[in-house]
Amino acid sequence: MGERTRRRRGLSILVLSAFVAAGGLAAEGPNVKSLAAGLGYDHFARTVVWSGEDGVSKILTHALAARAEIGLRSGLVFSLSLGFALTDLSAQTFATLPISLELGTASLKGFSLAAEAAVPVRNFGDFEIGAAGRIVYSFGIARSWPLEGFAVDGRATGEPTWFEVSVGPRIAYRALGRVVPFAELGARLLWAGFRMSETLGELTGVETKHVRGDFALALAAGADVRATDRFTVRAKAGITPASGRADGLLSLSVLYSF
Amino acid sequence: MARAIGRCIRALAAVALVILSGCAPAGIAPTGAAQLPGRVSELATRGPGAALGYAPDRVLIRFRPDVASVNAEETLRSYGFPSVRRIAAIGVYSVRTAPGVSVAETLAALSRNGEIEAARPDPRVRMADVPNDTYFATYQHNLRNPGGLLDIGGGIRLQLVAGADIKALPAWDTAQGDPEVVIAVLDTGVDRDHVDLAAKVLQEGHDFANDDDDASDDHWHGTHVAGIAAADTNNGAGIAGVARNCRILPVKVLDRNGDGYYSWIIDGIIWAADRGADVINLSLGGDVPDSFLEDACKYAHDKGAVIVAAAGNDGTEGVLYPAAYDETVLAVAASDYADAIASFSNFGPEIDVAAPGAWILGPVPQTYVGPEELPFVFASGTSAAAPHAAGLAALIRSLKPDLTPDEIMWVIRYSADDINRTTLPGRDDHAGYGRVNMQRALVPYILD
Repeated sequence: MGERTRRRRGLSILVLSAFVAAGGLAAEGPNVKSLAAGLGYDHFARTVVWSGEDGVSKILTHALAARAEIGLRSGLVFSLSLGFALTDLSAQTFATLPISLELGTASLKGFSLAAEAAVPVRNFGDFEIGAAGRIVYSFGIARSWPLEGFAVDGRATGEPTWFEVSVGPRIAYRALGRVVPFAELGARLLWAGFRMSETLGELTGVETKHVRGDFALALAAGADVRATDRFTVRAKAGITPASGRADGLLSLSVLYSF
Repeated sequence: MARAIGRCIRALAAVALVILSGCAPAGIAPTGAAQLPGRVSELATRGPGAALGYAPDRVLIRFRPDVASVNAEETLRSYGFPSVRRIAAIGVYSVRTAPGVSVAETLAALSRNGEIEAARPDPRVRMADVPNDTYFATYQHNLRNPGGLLDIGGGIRLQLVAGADIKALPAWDTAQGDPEVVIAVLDTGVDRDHVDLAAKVLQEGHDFANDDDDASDDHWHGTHVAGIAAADTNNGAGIAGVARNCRILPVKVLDRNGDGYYSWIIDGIIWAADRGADVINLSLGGDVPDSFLEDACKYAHDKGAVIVAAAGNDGTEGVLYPAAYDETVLAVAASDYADAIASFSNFGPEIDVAAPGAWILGPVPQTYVGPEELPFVFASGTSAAAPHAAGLAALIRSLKPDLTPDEIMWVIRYSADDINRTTLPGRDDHAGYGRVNMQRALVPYILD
């Protein structure tokens, strides 16, 4: 399956999810409890092994996104965000290209689309047990590098994409009024692709590396802080244990309620 | 060694004259006949740094020129680096990454600082994997040229120029060759019993000069050529070969006098291609074009073989055939130990690259030098140059088996060093794209 096909499929899943959710919300129209919009920052690190690589490398992502959130009377909270992502990729060698290329560390700019949902399932006193899920799709803008020192001018172009699904239980404590601390355990599945193309005179080549369904568990804790009647700050931090080290994740958003 | 080789040089000088005068116009002759004979720190762990070969807790940083060192150091301290060391002479800082922060994360953070011009990992260095072959360090200036004066005996002293070599050592860190990759040496045969070749020569072979299956060398030329391309390396004896782990398919297409005919060459090319040779080295050539010979080259090329041939040793314009078949054959000129084009090297628009071809040490049959002499001689010619390129082609095929012959030929061309750029910048008719550079052809180019 081609990289573009995979990308279209990922985008389709995301858009479909959004439509399904939006349809559900429209049907539930009168049940809408809250509407909010704001800005969010998401960071996560993920240690992965790309196809064809012996060693591990890391995907580091910083995403700044505009976010819209709808809360229903049933407690379901659904949000969509669209933003700008900066993804750092490291430790990859593209050895099947006519001239082998080694990517030390590179920041690649791209966009991210995310759909997120949290639903309460049951209350135990002040504790609310529920589930949270998130789908994020990042599609990169290609970055080019000149190939220098050869008899002819050349250029290499890298284009990353990644897609992550996360789902798991969520527990929130609702006895503190404006502050609602919560903890989440997320099962995270990551698909990523990095397409590197090379042109050097008569030579051309393309090599694509993949991460296919890499699984990790993430433990996160955070809080929703209702700073005023209109503004809510949501902060979350977590870790993902990964082969002798821990990858981190951090999320911060400010939402304005209508 | 120098004295022994010197004796060989004198012996070969006489033979060279015979060979040169014996080249029949209608025939084909070896193009090496112009001779004037004569660890490593272990990668203990496989963390991100180990995978790429850089320090897992250190990065190198250079600030923009307008940033004062006081401000630079203050900036670096703000990142929480536990140690910051300034290499004043070049304005670079070596810092240890903050505890728990990887090199990638550190570089990502630094990349967003506008004051910093460059930040990169600190690459791991290791003692070069120098093969232990007896004559490698001293005499194989073609593979690693340390500069200085080299006495090769017979009163001959070469003023070496450091770096005038094909960068074999750094390239071997990336590729030493796949034993399944085969270089067919179409020549006077190959000495299967030679200490530096016995383990490398395939059992099968064919002699088209005498129409039998015995492709032994009853001359010396083919053994010398085979050794340059793929001598047994790191065996504590003799020399190192370019494609040190690849194997040799001996195909005898020149007789005991070093002469042959196009029909033998055509048969040899097709025979080698049919046996799956990855590379075909032809350190020989004839003066006249021939469409049958060209067809044979196309046949082998289309079957996936990279064909490498010597340009010729007349020092005049006119590349010999089959080297002159531009579409299917890589034509190799000879450079010397100072990265100058050898005066004897033929030239013309078909020249693709140059490779060392002056005073190249290689193996020869013991029977050729006699029982008292070491079975190695220095020889010069485009015959000696071609197997350097053939060896490189075999290493590329080993590393990238999916590349076509055309692609391998372009990699060899584009990665060459333009050694005569001061007088003839760019591709020219004497050095082609330049002297082959194994390192640039094989070692990954770093994107940063």
